[in-house]
Amino acid sequence: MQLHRVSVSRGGPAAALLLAFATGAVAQLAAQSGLPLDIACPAYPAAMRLRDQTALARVQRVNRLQRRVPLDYDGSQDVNFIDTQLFSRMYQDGVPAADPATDAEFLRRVTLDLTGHIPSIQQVLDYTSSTDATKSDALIDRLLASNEFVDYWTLWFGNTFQVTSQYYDFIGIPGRTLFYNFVRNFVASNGSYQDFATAVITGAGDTFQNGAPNYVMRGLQYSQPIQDSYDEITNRVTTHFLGIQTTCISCHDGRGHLEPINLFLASRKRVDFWKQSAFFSRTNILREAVDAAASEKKGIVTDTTSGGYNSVLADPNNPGPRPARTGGPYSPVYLFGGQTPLSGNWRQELARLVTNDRQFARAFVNYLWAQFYRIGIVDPPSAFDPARLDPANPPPNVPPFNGQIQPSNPALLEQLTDAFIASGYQLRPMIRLMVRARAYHLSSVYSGSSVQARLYYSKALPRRLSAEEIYDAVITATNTPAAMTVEGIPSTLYYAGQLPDPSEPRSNQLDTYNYIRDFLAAFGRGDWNLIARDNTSNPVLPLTYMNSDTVTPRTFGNTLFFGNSLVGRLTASTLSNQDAVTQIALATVGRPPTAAEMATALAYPVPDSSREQWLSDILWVFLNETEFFFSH
Amino acid sequence: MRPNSFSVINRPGRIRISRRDLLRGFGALGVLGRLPVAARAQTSAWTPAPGTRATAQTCIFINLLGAPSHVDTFDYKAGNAPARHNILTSNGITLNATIFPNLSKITGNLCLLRSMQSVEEAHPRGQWAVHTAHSSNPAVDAQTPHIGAVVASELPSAGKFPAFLALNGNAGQGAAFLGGAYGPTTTATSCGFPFFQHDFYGPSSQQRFDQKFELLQALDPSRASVPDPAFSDFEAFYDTARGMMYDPSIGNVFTCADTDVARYGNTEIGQALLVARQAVQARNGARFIHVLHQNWDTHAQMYTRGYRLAGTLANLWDLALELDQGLGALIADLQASGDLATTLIVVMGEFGRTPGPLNGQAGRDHLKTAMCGLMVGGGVAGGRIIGSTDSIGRLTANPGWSQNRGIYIQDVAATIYSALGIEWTKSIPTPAGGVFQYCPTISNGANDTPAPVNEVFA
Repeated sequence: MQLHRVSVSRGGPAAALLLAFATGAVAQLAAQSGLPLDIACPAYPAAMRLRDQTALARVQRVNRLQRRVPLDYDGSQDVNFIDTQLFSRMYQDGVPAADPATDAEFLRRVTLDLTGHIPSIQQVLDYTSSTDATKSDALIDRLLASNEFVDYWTLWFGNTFQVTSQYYDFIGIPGRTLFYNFVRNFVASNGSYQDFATAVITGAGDTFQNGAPNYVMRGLQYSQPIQDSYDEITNRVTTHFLGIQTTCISCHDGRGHLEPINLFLASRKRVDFWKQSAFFSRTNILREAVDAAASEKKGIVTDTTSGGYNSVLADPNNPGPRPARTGGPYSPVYLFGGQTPLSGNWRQELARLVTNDRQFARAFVNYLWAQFYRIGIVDPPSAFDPARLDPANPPPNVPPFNGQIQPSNPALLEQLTDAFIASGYQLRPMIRLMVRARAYHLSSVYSGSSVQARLYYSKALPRRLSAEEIYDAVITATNTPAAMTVEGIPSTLYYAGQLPDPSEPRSNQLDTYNYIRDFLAAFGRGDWNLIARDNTSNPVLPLTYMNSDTVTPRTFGNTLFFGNSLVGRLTASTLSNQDAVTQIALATVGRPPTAAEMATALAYPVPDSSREQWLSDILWVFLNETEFFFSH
Repeated sequence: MRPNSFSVINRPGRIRISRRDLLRGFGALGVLGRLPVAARAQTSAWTPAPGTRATAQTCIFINLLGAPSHVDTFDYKAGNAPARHNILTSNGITLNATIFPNLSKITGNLCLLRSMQSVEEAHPRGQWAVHTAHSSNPAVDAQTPHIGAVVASELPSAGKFPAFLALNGNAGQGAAFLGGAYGPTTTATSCGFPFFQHDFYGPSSQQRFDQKFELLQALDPSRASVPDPAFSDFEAFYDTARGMMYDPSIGNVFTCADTDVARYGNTEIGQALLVARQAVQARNGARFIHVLHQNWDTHAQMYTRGYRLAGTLANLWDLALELDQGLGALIADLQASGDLATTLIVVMGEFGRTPGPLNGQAGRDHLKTAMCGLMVGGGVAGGRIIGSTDSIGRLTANPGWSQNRGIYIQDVAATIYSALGIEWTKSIPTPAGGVFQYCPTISNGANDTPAPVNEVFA
C-alpha cells in the first residue's frame, strides 16, 4: 500500500488537503471497508478517484458520528491526565496518534524546550544507550535542576515582561539588571508564582535599588497623561497574569465593537476599565537624576492611601492618545468579578484579587502549554474570553461563535489549573507534568494531516528555535564558545540565552559584539519594545547564517579565535572518517547519521587534500540541515 | 474535480508547480495555501487586472512611524512654523522650505493628499492599519497579511529578489497565510548589508560554497522527505538565499557609493532610500519596498533642533530634513533614470496630530480626524492637491475625490493595488475559514466601501 504518494496535479491544493486527510486519518477504516487504496496512482481514473474520495469521507463521517472508542485505546499507556484527555479524544474521533519519538528525537526536544540548549555528544550517547526504564524521568529531573534551566526560563519570563534598558530612559541598565536578577531568583528558588506576581504588581521603592518596581516603570507612557500610564500598566497586568488583553476597552465601550472578538469584553464599558485602572491611581512615580549631568534617571515608586482615578488632565494641552475621559474620580472595582478593595493600599488589593483569581492559574498553565505543545488550549494565550470558558454555559448560538466555547479542551485546561494551584503555583511541577505526558513524547513525523495535528495535538509540532537558541546551538555543536562581558553581570557569559535583555551584548572597545547582535537580529530576537520577537523566517536568515563570521569559521579546525573546536579535535584524532561523521551528526542534529547521510558524506571529495577541510565541510552541512533549526 | 477553493491564489497559467515542488511542499500547499519560492520563478506573462490603472511596476512605501504632524508638513497651516522659517508656494503647493528645502523645489512632482483620515489614534493599531489596510482585530490579525505581501503574491517575480523588501527594520507584519515566501525580506542595514557572499576560502570561496550547498541538498534527509510544512517553508528561504549569493546584481543594490550617501544623507532613512533606488533600478524582482522612518511621534519640542529622546532624534525639524534630503535625491535619481514613471512612492504615517497652538511641551498629540499623505511617480500627477482641511487642520473641509469623504488607508491601498495592476476588490478565503478582503470596508461609522483615489493619477 502506498499511502503517501499523493498527486495533486489536477486536484489542486484543496483536493490535496482532502486527500492528505483521508489517506492519513481513516486508512485503517478504509482497509476494513475493502476500499481500494491506490487512489494516489497517477493512472487511477479521475471518476473513480472522486467516487473513492467520497466513500472515504463517508466512512470517516460515520465513524465520527458513532464516536466509538477503537479497541486499541484503554488508557493503560497514559502517564497522566494530559494523556487521558488528549488520547481519548483522538481515538473517539478516529484520529491517529503519531508514533513515539525516538530516544534521540525526544532528548533533543526536551533539552531544547527546558534549557534552550541542544544535548552534547556524550548526552546523546548516554541517553540512547541506556536501558533504564525510567531514564526519561531521570532526564527531565536533571534538566529541571540545571543552571541552564534557570537561564532559559528567566529569558522566557523576560520575553513576557520585556523590562529592557532601551525602554525610553525609564529603566536604565541598573533597573534592567535588577529586574533580571529578580526574575532569575524566582526561577532558581522554586518560588510561588503567586508571590512573584504580587511582588511585581506591588513593587515599590528606588528602581536602581530594587528589581520589582521596574515592572511598573516598563508600563509608563512617555510624554502622555498619567492616566495613560495607569491604563497601559493595567493592560499589561491583565495580559501577563490573566491572559486577557483589555486595551480595547481603554478607549471605547465593548458594545458594538467586540462582539465578534471577545464576548466578555463586549459586555464591559470604558468606565469599567477606568475602575480597574484605578487600582494604580494611588501609585506615585518620581524620576530622580542620579548624577549632576542628569544623564540617567531612576524611579521612586510609592503608594499613597488617598485619591482615585481622575478624568481631569494635569495638562489640558496634552490630552494623550485616548479619547477624553469623563466623570470620576473612580475607586477600584475588579473588572473580572466586581470586588472592591478591603484596604487603602490599592496595588496590594489588586495583587490579592489577581493572584487569587482562578483565571490567574488558568492563564499561566495555558502560556506554559503553548511552550511545550506549541498551540495554547486557548490560542493565542493572551486572548482569553471569560464568557466562553464554561462548557455548561456556552455562548449564544449566533455567529461568529455559534455556541462554541473557546478552549479546545476545557476539561484538560481545568485539570491543569487545579494541578498548578495544588502545587503551590510552582513552575517546575507543572513543566514536569507536561513533558512527562506521553503526548509530549510523540514523533513529529506523522501520517495524518497538519490540521489534525494542530487540532488534536496528535503529533509533536516543530518549533523553530529562537535567535538565542540557534546561536547557542552553533556554539555547543562546534565547541567554540566566545566570552561576553555585560555591564551589571559579574560573570563572563558565553551563551546568548544568558543575556539580560536584547540590547546586549553592547559594543565593547573593539566592537567585536556587533556580529553577535546582527546575527540575533537577523534571526528575529526583537527588542522587547518596538520590534516583536519573530520566529518565522525570511531569506536574510540563511544569508546571514551562511555568510557571516558567526557560523562558518566555527567549522574550521584550530583557529585563533576558537581554539578547541570540534573539527580541531576530530582532525587531531585517529577516528575513521565514518566515526567522525557520526560524531558530527551527534553534535549537531543529536542523532546518529542515517545510512544515506553516511554514504553521501563519505562520497564527498576531500577539498585541497585536507582532512580538516573535509571535516569542516561535513560539519557545515549538518549545521545547515533543516532539523538543526527546529525543536521537533 | 472538486472546485479548488484556493483557485483565486493559484491562478492556472500563472504559477506552474513541478512534481518535485509538490512532493516537497504539498502539505504546506494544502493546508495553508503556501507556495514554495521555487514555484514562483516559473511564471508566464503577467497581465494587469481589468479596470486597474497599471501605471506602476514597483511601490516604495515610506512609513513615517509615530505619525507626522500634517499641519507642519504636507498640509501646512500658516503660522505653525517658527517665525524665521521660509514658507514657499509653487505649483499651488505651500511647503515649509526650511524643513523641506528639496521637496519645496520639486512641487511639480508632488501629489499631496490633504483629506486623509484615520480610524485609529494609538500607534500600534494605527501602524497595523498602515501595514495591512485593516483595522486590528485580535480575532483575525494572524490571518491578515501585509500590503507588501499581497503585492508579492499577486505580481510575478521578475528576478532574483524577494518581491517584498523591508528596509530599516521590521515591516510590522508578514505574509500570514499567503506563505512565508511572500513575506518581507528585512535587512538590519541598508547600505553595506554584507551577507550576500563570503571569502572564507579566498578565490575559491564561491566554488567551495557551491560544493557544500550541493552536498547539503543531497544529504539532508528533510530535504528528501519533509516531515512538516514548517520545514519546507524554511528550506524555500535557503533556495532563495542561495540564488542571491555571489551575484553582483544583488550585492550591488546594497553597495553604496560615498558620493551617493552624501547626496541622500548619511542617515538611516537616507541610506535606505538610496538602496531602494538601487533596488528599483536593478529591475530584479523587488515590487514593494517598505522603508521605515522612525520617531515622528513629536509630542514635545517639535521645533527644537537636536532634541533627542533616549538618545534618539525626536524633533520634527531634523526628521523632516533627513526625509527631505533622501526623498529629494530619490525622486531626482528615478526621474533621471526614467524609473519614476513606473515607481509609485507613497509617504504617510498612522494618523495626524492635534492642530492649532503647540501643546504644553511644545509638541503635538494624536489626531485621527485629519492627516496627510504624499504620492509621487508611478502614474501620479505632480503639482496636485487632493482635498483640504479646515483653517487649522482639525477636520476635512473638502474631500476632493470621487467618494466625497475622507481618504483612509484602505483607499490608499486600493490606489497602490490599482497602480500596480492588482484587482483591489478581491477577496480570498483564509485557511481558518474566513475571508481576507484586500481592501476591507472602512469602519469609520459609515461603513464605507474603499476605492482607489483615481484623482491622483495623471
